[in-house]
Amino acid sequence: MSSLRVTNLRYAYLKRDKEALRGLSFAIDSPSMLSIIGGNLAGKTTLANIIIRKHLEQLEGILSGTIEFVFDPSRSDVIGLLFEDVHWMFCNLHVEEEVAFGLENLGVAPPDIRRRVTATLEQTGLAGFERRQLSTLSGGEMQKLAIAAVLATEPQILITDDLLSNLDVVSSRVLPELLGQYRRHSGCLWIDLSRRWATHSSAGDRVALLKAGTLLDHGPPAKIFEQLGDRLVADGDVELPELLEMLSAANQALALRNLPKLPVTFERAQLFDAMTRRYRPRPPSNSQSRAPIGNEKSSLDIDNVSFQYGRGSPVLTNCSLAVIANRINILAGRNGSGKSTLVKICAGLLKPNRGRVLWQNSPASQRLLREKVCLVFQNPEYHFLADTAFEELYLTGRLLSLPDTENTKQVEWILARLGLESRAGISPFALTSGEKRRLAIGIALVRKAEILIVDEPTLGQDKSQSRMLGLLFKQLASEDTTLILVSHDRRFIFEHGDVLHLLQGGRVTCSGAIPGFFASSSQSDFSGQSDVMAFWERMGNGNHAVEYAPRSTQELFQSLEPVPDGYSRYASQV
Amino acid sequence: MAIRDTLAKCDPITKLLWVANTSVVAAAMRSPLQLLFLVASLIFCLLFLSRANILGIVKYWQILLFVPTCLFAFHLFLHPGQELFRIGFLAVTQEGLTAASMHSLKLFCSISAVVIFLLTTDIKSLIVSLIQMRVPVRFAYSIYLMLRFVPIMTVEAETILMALRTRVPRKRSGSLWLLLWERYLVTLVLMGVRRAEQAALAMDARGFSLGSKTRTFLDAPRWDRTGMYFFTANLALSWGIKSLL
Repeated sequence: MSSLRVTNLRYAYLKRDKEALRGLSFAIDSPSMLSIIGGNLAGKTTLANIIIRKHLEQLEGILSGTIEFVFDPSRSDVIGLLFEDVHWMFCNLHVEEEVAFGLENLGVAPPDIRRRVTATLEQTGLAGFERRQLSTLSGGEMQKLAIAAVLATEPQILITDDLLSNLDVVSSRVLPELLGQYRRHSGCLWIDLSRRWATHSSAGDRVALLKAGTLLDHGPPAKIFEQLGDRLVADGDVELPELLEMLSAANQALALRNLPKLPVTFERAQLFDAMTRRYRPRPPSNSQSRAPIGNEKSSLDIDNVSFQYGRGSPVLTNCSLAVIANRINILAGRNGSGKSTLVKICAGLLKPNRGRVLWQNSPASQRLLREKVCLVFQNPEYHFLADTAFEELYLTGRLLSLPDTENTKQVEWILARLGLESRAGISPFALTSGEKRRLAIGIALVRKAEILIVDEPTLGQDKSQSRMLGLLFKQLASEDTTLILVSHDRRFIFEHGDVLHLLQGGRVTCSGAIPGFFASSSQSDFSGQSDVMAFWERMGNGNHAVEYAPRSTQELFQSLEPVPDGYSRYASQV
Repeated sequence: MAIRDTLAKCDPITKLLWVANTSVVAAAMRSPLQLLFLVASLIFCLLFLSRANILGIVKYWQILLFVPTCLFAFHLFLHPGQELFRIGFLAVTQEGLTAASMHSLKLFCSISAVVIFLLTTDIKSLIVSLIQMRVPVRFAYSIYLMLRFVPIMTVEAETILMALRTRVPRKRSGSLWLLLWERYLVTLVLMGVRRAEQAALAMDARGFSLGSKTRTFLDAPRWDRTGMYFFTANLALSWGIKSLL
């Protein structure tokens, strides 16, 4: 039996006036799970670091209050920590060595190490990766490896910091389930820190909401959602699952008509049943249709490109892609499918081993591509050269020979557009992960390239920031910029994307307009099932044109109207 | 066991001793002929006792040839004596040619032995062997991490350079370019420091701070007779060449 008790915890980093944590108190016993959910600057990563540093007796900064651990004396007192950015947590060259490292430190006998390494790699979907070098793994594969390395040590306390940030849809479902199974099986306690209310948060024992270093409330998930759900939707700094957003929107519309609310449920079938009794589709209106994607011209074409790093295995094989001009092109696919490599080729940063890259139907040199295309890397820190966020953007303008006044004006505009005005004087490296990414996008905006590629734009962003970025991208597309966004974020893609290119096994296997791509008939491993789309299909498309489908909860409820309970049995009629 | 697995099967410490022995013998040799025999024995080791890829060796050509060639050129013109021929105003003497050959071959032998060692040894198994020989875990792992950070930082440096290229597609003039390079290096160092700090915390969280007393190893290299045979044969051969020729 292990437990963790945090009492009136206050913490401030050295040389900073503001406290990062302000009087946190909570207790958790094994085998419980506590989901601590909060937006940017809530203090999640700080809390994770303090707990682990307190355990290792490596605390820095000013701390008051207490953190008490109780461990089962019959087992090693290991705390498993999964960092927000897993790239920084490895210390070996090969996958197998990395997983074995913790066990070696704990003095486990070599045959047991072998057995546990093999079992953990199988559980995390990394069987066959034993001798792979870490440098050849994709972002998602690294995340899986981090989970394997932590689980192999059989920790008594498990802390995960933004677990789902880098995972594709399938892994986002499978890996939390795996951690849940481990928790139940081993009897460990699990603290999950996240910017989103994930499916596994709802299935946990308790949910706590963290905002600006303060715990707002904590308790059973259903109770917390009932009390604070509407506020969470309105604030937008915590990402909620589509299902909970639908529940909140449904209840708000019912409340406006003084109709009784729907009960809180985390089960799709239950909610859909309740909603089909209380809602019916509105007649179609013209404003709901969007400009369809026709036979539009492409600005960049990838023609039968193959690529491999050194003498490693091929990353891309005969890959072809037509990037539609002035649209938001989404490049999606499972972890390790070659997305990041493909965009580096598009940006003229890598030369394909075979095949051609065409710019407006003519073969393009790497130099030409670098002039026309700007890429924002998955890790934004690679872009940072200056001392402050303001200087970072200003330096780019200076390098492009912009006059001082124009440059300053433009930098101020971009900072405001990206919600970074108040952070202008801060070092880029000290920003939160979401802010860093927006600053890197800002650098690309100064460049005004004809094609803007952003690798995982919504990573680290809260819901309102994701929406803000989506609107920004739409505006850029309407101003003659072509966008290629690499993303796993199905909701972002569904809401803001125009064309989706699906990459599987190193080649683009299909491309198509969104939202048609998300219709149940063409749902793939990648997309999972959109709750909005699934409900819309259940309502029989509401007699709307076949090509119309609501892309967000907001659009769905614009197409539905509430009715008294039992009046609408629309689904059964359909 | 295939004969070409000999070097791979030798334990890292024995191979390290072999590298040291080769360097000492090379330094003690007094004629180019002796050194040529030593070079021949190294080539034999490389071609017949290991599965090292010839292309793998080509990767090291700069290290293998650059320093010995520089040393050769330096000694060629430095030594006074009987003049053989002239290259411009520089005279090549008999003594210079002998000394240049000797010094460059000695260095070439030492570097070749190190390259063969690197090509046939897993660095992790060397570190594990050091720990088994009671070298403190933290010290041994520091060496390992340092070696591991070289390829990581190379990739980091390339990626930061890529980010720089996508930011500034065209070349910039003097002072701006200088400023960019200065900033580039600062970013690289900063990222290196942050990586090291985070890696240290991650290692400690997984029990690294517990120390070496109870530590075990998944694939601990075991002492094998092959290593002893190989080392003894080489010891006899190299000192035989030194004494007999």
